[in-house]
Amino acid sequence: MKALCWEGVDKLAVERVPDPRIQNAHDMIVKVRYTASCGSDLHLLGGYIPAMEAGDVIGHEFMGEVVETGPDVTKHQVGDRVVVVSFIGCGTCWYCDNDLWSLCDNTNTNPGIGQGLWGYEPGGIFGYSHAMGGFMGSHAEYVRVPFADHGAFTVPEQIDDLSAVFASDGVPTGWMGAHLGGVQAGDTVAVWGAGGVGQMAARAATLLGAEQVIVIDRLPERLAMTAQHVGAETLDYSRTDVGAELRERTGGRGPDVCIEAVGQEAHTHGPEYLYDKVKQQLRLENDRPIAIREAIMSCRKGGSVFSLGVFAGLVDKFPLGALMNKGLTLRGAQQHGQRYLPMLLDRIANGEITTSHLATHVMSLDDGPRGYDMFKNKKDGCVRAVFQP
Amino acid sequence: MSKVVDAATTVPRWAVKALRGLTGATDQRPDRADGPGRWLVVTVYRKAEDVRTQVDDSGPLSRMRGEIELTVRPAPGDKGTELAARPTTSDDGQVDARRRLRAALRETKSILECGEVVEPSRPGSSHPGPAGQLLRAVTARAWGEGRL
Repeated sequence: MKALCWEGVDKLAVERVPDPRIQNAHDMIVKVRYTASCGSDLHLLGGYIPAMEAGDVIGHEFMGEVVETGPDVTKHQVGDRVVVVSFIGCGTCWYCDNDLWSLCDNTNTNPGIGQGLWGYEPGGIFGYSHAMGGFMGSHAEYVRVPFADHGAFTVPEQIDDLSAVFASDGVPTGWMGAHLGGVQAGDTVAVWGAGGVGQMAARAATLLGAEQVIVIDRLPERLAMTAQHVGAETLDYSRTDVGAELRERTGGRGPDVCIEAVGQEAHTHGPEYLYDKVKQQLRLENDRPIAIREAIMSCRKGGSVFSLGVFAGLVDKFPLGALMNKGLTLRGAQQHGQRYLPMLLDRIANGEITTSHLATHVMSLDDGPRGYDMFKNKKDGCVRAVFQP
Repeated sequence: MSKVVDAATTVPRWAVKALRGLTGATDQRPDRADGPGRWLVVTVYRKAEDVRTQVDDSGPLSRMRGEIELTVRPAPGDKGTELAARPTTSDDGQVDARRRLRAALRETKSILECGEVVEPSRPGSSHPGPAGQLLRAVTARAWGEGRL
């Protein structure tokens, strides 16, 4: 089959690779209809995520049609139209049973790597390095879905394919940031990053009762999209002092909940950016924590900060003093999509959440390298490149 | 799975040692050189009787019964059952025995909790390159490595 493969830092290629097959009894095979680029893929592309191998199929946000089921799959049948959560959960360990699906104990096939890096390993994910299980990704004609009864969800008729694809990752990740970030009725919520996940986090905050939601970015097309489709206030960090602006807009208090949806390649202006960029390139720190520093400093006393953006390792100049002395709650997670998807699919079906506007560039899988170039370099207003295998 | 671990022992020890040091996955040493190895423990989200039955009747731990001692006890907070194992004799700092034991404990947990051990995608890349070959040496051992 055809697949988009990682070939090295900033190198992608469309290749012929073996078709996936049923390897475990709970597997099924999905014929991919749409598969979306995600900001976290850019970290793979940039070489900031360890344990990638030339020829690995990337991609983790997808929907499609079931074409084969393993003997222990009971929920799905051939022909079902499904969206699949990007994190793989077994459904039967303590973590899955407690709705902490991305922390599944049984789906990371290389636990020694994760335990070495982070103490304990997270669960497996499609197309996201061998440190995260070594599962081939969705930028391909077909994909193997382990524990399919738990990770795949039938798409309601009212939802078209292009809207459904973002229920795989962007929508549940954003929802989780607002939910586990503790958004309450009447809150003011600030979201760093107006990409797909940031927009979905902002929409979730509104639906959870926030009275004021402010999204921070520098790209005018993304800020305009956020205002139009999400209904949030926007703030261009390249034109103003974010901390001062947030204080002004919140009566001097600061936001109750701050959600960071940027991750390890955050951008800013001035010497701070240069400092982090140099340290990252020299591998003296893995990640540029610019946005989460700002979130911690901007958050009101006793507030909550949630890290949604992907980080891989160690960061420098982390404002632990602000965290401790202001009494903040800091939390982070990869997405627990299985926990939220039935509810989120209902909300997409009834129009409370819209997603298809995120697919600014829909193209053939053959155009994968060009799509990622547009996505990475924000060409032509690209928010998400979505591929049709 | 243990076959994979065994096959990986042909990888140069210096390379594995360097990688394990880089990732912090250093192996634990026994407290006493002449005593039994340290306990390795997994918590299985199943009842103690289910765990005992699996360990006694079949599976990778039953095949190691002559080499290890086992304990089974309830985990606090309804988290399941703690299954602990250690070699009955000193391993003299050799990592292979502990790697096999970790792999067996993980396999037992996975079979008890979800009925199977999930596999990574196979085949992997047809052209992994030099860095990929090194990574394969690591992933071939990763099931038996870690802080367990």
